[in-house]
Amino acid sequence: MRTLLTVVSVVGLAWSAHSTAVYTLTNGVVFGLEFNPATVVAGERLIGTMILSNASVGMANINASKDWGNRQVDTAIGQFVVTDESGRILPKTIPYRFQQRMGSRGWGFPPGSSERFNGDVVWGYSLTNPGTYFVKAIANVPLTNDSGSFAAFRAETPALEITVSSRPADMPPAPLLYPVIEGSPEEIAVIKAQEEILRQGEEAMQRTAIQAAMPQVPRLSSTSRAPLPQAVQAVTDKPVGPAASMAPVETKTAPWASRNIVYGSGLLILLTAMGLFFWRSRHNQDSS
Amino acid sequence: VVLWGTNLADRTEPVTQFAWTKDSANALLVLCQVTFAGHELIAKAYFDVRRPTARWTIRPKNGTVTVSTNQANEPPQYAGYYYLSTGPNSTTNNVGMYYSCEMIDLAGYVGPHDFFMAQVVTLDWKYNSVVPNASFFMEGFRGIDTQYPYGWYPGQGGKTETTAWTTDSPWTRLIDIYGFFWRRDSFECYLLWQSRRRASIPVPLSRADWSWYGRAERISTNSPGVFQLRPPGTDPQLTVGVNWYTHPTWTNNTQRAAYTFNNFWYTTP
Repeated sequence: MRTLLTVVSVVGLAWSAHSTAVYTLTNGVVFGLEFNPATVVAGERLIGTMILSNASVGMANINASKDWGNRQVDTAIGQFVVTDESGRILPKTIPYRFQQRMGSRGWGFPPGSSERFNGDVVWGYSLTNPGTYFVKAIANVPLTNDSGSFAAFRAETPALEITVSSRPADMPPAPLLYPVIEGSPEEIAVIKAQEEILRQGEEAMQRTAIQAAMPQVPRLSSTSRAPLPQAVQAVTDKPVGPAASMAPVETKTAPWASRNIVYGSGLLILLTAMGLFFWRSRHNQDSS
Repeated sequence: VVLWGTNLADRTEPVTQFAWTKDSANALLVLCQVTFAGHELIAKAYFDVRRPTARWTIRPKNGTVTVSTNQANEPPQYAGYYYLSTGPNSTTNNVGMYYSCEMIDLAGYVGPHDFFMAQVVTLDWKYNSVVPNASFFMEGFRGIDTQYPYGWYPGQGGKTETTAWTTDSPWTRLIDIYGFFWRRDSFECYLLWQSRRRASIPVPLSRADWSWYGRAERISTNSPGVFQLRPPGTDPQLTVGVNWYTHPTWTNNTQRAAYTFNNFWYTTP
């Protein structure tokens, strides 16, 4: 089994007319993403499957969400990252009222075993317009250990191509992707108010996460190449152009830092001179 | 003989199947009677029905219900959020509940088999919204807990292992719309066994019930909000499975649990 999995990881990408799959091997665990089929008619659902296989000789422990397909997780172990043909990362479109809420579950993951976790990429990212999209998976992948720990690391797969084809004219109209909020006008108003609160909170979280992931301000060199905040791109679902992220970052903070030192030193000299002047004035008055 | 008709998590139509769930000291007769071309035909078969014995323990590891920011393996952007939780869930030693099973007597059975768990839960949740005079509740919502079967090591597929374990750490992320949050989960846990030598279906061996209850009060207006536990709660209980002969049934899934609206705030303790 382990030999088979290793071969799969070397091959990396499997494709047929109807399905597509990609696998990576990190720290002894194969992490894969499958679409079978890899095409869908606009308005229909498309299930992507994240796969974990323990290709190591060590025991691991899986920790998974008890619910998925919500604002927090697309599958029980992670997220899809979906880009369109122009490279724009599509935001998650699941309404804020769909929250992760049940908790977590865990179980052993011995060598040679594998698990599959499904998620609906159309539901998550409103892929209802015909076109070509690229989907990769980011998930908490278990570290092998024998201590019963649920320690995991963030792993991601390369992107897979999926196709949303035009909906034939003779097909019935697709149902609404997200159910309309039902209830009294008062109830609908409250739910919308709550969704706005959650939206603002999520945006604040993303700003905080991005700031936390920003590189430390270099204080001496005038230019530097900033580390790529890839993990943040993955979890924020915000459009971040990969090309822009790859480019060397011209930092303006270092000249500002040098200038601040000059200003600070000048201010210190000025204050010292003023102090001396006042002290000498007072000293002269006392003498006279 | 029992009639098993239920909606599994991934099915929308009932299925009808037959199985013995009780063993018998005497051979049991199955009689098949058909009428074909005006003639009545009868076939008889006798079955030696045996039943494995299992030891099943459901043990709380963290032990207490808490409200804290200490919840492992959450996405980094949720750092600072408070959780009403049965356990931080960073290792199997601090999960909310640890289920361990040992097959102690297979009653002469040799070969591949599966044993796994189905967890049915009744949810009693409610919260006062931060929106004035608005609250939501789900009362007595009963359904399969997430999926059937529940995640389980060594898992399905016709194994020969005789021990298995899984965990459950129920928690609620205390998001910005909660002013006061109440949660009670009442679990029915079923241990099922299935032979893989012949066409067969899972049969119940054991049942164990447990529950937990906690409530969290918001004590700040900032985001993410600061919450504190409002005792008394109910901590998860150590439970030992008892022999059980009735298949679990359910007609819903917790993924579909929905709140109902109130235009008032519940009185808080």
